[in-house]
Amino acid sequence: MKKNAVHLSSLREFVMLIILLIMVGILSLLSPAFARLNNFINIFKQTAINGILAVGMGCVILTGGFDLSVGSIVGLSGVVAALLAQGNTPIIIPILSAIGIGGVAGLLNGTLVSYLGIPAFVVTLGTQNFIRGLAYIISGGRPVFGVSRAYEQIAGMNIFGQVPLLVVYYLVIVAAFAFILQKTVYGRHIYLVGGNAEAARVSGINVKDVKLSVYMIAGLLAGIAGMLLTSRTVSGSPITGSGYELDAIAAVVIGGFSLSGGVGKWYGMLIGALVLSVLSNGLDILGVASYYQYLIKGIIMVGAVYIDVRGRARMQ
Amino acid sequence: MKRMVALFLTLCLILMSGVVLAQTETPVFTFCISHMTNAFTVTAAEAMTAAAEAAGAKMTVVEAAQDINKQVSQIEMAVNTSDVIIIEPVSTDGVLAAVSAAMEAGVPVVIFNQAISDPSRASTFCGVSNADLGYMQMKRAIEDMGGSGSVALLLGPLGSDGQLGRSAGYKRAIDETNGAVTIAFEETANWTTEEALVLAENWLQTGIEIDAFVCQNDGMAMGAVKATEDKNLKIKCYGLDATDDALRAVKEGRLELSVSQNTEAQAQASVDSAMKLWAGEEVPSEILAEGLIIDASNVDEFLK
Repeated sequence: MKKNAVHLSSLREFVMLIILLIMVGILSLLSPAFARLNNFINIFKQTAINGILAVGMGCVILTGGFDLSVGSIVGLSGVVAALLAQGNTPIIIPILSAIGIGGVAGLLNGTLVSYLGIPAFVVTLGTQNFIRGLAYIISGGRPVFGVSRAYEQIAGMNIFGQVPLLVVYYLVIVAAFAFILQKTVYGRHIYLVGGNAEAARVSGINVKDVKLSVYMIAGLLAGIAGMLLTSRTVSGSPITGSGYELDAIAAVVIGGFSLSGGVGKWYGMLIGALVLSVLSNGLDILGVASYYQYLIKGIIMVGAVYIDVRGRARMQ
Repeated sequence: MKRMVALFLTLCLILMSGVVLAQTETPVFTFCISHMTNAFTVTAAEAMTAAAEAAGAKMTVVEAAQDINKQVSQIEMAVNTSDVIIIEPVSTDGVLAAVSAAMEAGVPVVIFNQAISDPSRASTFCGVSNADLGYMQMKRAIEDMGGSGSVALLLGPLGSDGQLGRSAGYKRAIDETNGAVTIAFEETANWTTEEALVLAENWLQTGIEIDAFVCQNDGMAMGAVKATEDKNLKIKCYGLDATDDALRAVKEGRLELSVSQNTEAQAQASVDSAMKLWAGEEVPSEILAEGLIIDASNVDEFLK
């Protein structure tokens, strides 16, 4: 019984891993430029921002929640980081400010959802607007430029010759959450709260605190993503991040997470985010217009969930 | 009771006539802007307010957050509160009915920056020809390449007025080379630096030769600059809009040039036209500002 359940939950990740490999294979055949090592580094670079958001979104979705505000947090923390990263200011100030903003926003979401009992969809739709508004007000509606060279290096610097730090941060974050979700008591609590909140409560888990904490995780990671995006684009714009929450949701859903909570593995978040960026990277290289890219993304997302649903039905 | 109502109504009438009289003393203009979320629109709103103040008019700025429905409501509202309405349309077709309604109600309408699909419905259009801006920019890029080569184009949102006009200008300049200049890549980055950066990275990855990145705004041009610098490539990038950041990049030699659409001149023309319309004078149906190329030779004049 238990063994069977493990099989079921990892089926979609497995299917998506195969789809990812097939995609890489086809794109490599179609374009030699795709299969080069530096393009794979490119792909990880282009996955990093959405991938980091997907990790936070994954944690929230594991508890059966939802966070629509992460895109706005990226915008606000990015703008603030850009404003503080001018001239000779030590880069630690914008870094900590951006992460702090993410944390406070996450705390706000978490408190409203967990302790005031307002539905997550409503809360985070509200904070999405509120935080976006703050980003506009603080920046006066203009993109912020003049980010220092030192700040640009945060995401832009390469190590081991040609691996950008941006990729390293992403992989470190994924590894950290793989450990937290798989190996810690707290990680098990996240799954339990999402799988069956009532049972979790009865067994002595503080469900409210666990729920609050995952929104904080999502907020902190969105703050980090905003800080890194500002470094990568050497500017902070108040519109940055619009719609990123949906890309993050798409990544975790493709990666095998159930929107009703309790189901999903750390590597699913990685695979899901990679599927999306391999697709857009490969199609850009092949010169496919972005309109068709939307079509293909939509088909892959619904198709992935369909294969999964059918697979489960057969196994039962 | 009836007398009270009558007295109240009379008072209201007196007050309203007072308002009407006050309105005719200083002109009241409303500037309906599509959104206030990028450098261009914020500059436009500031330039408009400053020009109105200098002309002794009162200017109210309302923004529609890119929502045509909201803008139509704002125009309808402005008909009751303003002597002249200046509109930067969210959609070139979507505002037509509201423009006609305002004109029929006797409130002149000045269209700013983006022409509406039927210009005859408004009093005048004050803007710049996007096709000319695109042509100027592409012409210089082609000259810098020595007349032949391949270009990569980063476009605005497909179907937007700016994109269509600027692309038409590109086409005109490229067609004049009789095939010596080809388009290696062409895609929208929706005016954003992030999308432009990713596209440029992916294009450079293909190994297909690119002699120049020609971009329909500065934000996207800065994305292309970043992508080429990350790869240590020397490919010239061309911007448009003359934002402060782009001008600094021109000064530092990272960006080849930017084309200014002369927002201040467009705003000034709009306010001048509004003042004339308010005074009952005739205005031409179209007033176009000249685009300006800002490169290393003249960037110091524009850098604030």
